[in-house]
Amino acid sequence: MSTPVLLYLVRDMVCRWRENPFSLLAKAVVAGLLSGMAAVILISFHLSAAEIRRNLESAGASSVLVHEFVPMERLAARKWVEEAVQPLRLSVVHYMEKLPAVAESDVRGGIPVFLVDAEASWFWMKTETDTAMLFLTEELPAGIRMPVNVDGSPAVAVTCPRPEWIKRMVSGPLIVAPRERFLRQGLFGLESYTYFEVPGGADRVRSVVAAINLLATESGYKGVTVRDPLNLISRLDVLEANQEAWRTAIVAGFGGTLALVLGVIAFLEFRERRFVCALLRSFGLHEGVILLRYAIDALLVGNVMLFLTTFGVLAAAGRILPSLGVSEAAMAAMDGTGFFHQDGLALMTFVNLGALLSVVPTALGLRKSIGRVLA
Amino acid sequence: MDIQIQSLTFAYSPKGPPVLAEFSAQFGPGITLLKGYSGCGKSTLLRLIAGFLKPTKGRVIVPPEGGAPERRFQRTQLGFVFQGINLLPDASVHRNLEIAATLAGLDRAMFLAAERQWCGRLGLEPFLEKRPDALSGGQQQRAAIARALIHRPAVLCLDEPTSGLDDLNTGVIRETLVEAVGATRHCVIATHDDRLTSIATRVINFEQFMPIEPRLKSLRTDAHF
Repeated sequence: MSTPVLLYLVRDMVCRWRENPFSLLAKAVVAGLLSGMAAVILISFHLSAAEIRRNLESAGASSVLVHEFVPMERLAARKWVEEAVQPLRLSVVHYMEKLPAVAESDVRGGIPVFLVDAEASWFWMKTETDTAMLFLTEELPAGIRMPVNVDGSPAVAVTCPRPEWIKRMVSGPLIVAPRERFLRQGLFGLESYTYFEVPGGADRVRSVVAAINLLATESGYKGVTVRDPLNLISRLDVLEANQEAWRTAIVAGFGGTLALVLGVIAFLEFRERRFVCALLRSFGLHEGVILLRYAIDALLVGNVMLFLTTFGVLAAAGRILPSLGVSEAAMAAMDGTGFFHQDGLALMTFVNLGALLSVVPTALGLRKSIGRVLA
Repeated sequence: MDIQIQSLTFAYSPKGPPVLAEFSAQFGPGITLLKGYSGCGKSTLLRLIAGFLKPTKGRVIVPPEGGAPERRFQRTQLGFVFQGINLLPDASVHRNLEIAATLAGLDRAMFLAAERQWCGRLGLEPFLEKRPDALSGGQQQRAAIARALIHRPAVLCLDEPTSGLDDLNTGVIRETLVEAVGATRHCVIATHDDRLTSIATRVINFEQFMPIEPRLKSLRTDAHF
């Protein structure tokens, strides 16, 4: 296409904007409102998903914790969970028992005490002697020898940060000691905790958890509680499925609405300009070039409004949402590429699809022969 | 090569009466004047010759290549002056001429030479940088003719080019057309204006092909007219 024709079409577009600013304003407002609504919906989904992912990350996407009250008559079979998962050759399996007593130190009281046996290699790697205890906490620097009182007996525990898997099991500081130091059991039994990680995705976790539950039921074990990430995973799945549905709905619904509104405005503008368009066509200009001018008009307005609105909504979200309790980690997921990579595409698709579809009425108008327009 | 119209039938709506029915004619080089009352189909025939309307039946063959009037013909070989709008409103006269010339494939030197020639002939030089809304009716019409002539088309179609113009403007247009068409180009003019009869190579009374409306006929036979 030649420069004078291009220049004329650009000039024509700018002149229309100047002559009829309300038409431009109407297009901008509709594109901005729809983009803003779509951005708010997608941002809320994005934040919810980020929050669940964060929870899942801290809870461990593949971690399973089996908590059981083991009665006295079954003490010999208290490690049945560990034995049950043995064929899976899992790399992370930990077994601990909770002492029916708490410990106290100068800095903190009511500290739960867990006991480990000779197979707990992680524990023995951190202790100095086979009688030492570990005070697992992030509140104190590592390596401090801390006097503690466990169930009335004075002892010394060495401070050490909690391993990640213990953080998923116990929320605060704890003391871990070898079982030999506290041979006294509860009157009715003991509380056992078996922690293991099942790699290979949610389906594998689901099947292992189902097997543990089935085994407990079949064996008649009461008081077995399995804590797994399946609930979070399924919530995330549902959310992601919803998000996908919304993305499709936004592309189809919002895109359709934008196409309809911009299309009507463009057609009204075209009706005003049909004589000029027909005159240009009478010079031999292809209809496609005229259509391109209307498409560029709609694409320009749509995309400018999309970017202004989306950045506006993101900026507003960055200011408002933290004060409403949205976590920093979830907000961090909103930064820059995270949101645009996933949802920006949907937003851009709906705006550009809508803008392109909006030229359909004009295209139909351009089918009318020149001789019927220009008498 | 003449403009050939072969068994042409055209109706504006499929159920309506045809404006032209089985019309055939051949227009040689020079200026052909189509005369007749309003609504007899002169303008429709011009638009059919230009390819701006599609015939219901029959065909039009146009010089210089002897094909149907397609887009390429419209761009390079046709100059058309409509009754109404002829100039792009957001462009100066110069820009209007430049757009038409560019679409016709003229290079800049050829365009500038043609612009000098026709604008000089039509007295448009002082108005080249003006937009159409700043021109008088006569100036607009002369600019429209300059726009139609800028690429030296093989076929020139003019629909009422001097309607409403004074004798001076009409005189300038008349002289320009004679010079532009010469002996080899084809020019078809639909007009009521008797002032153009003197430059015509041939005059075709279009009423003979299209029966006059009864009411107009009764008015024409009335002594007052």
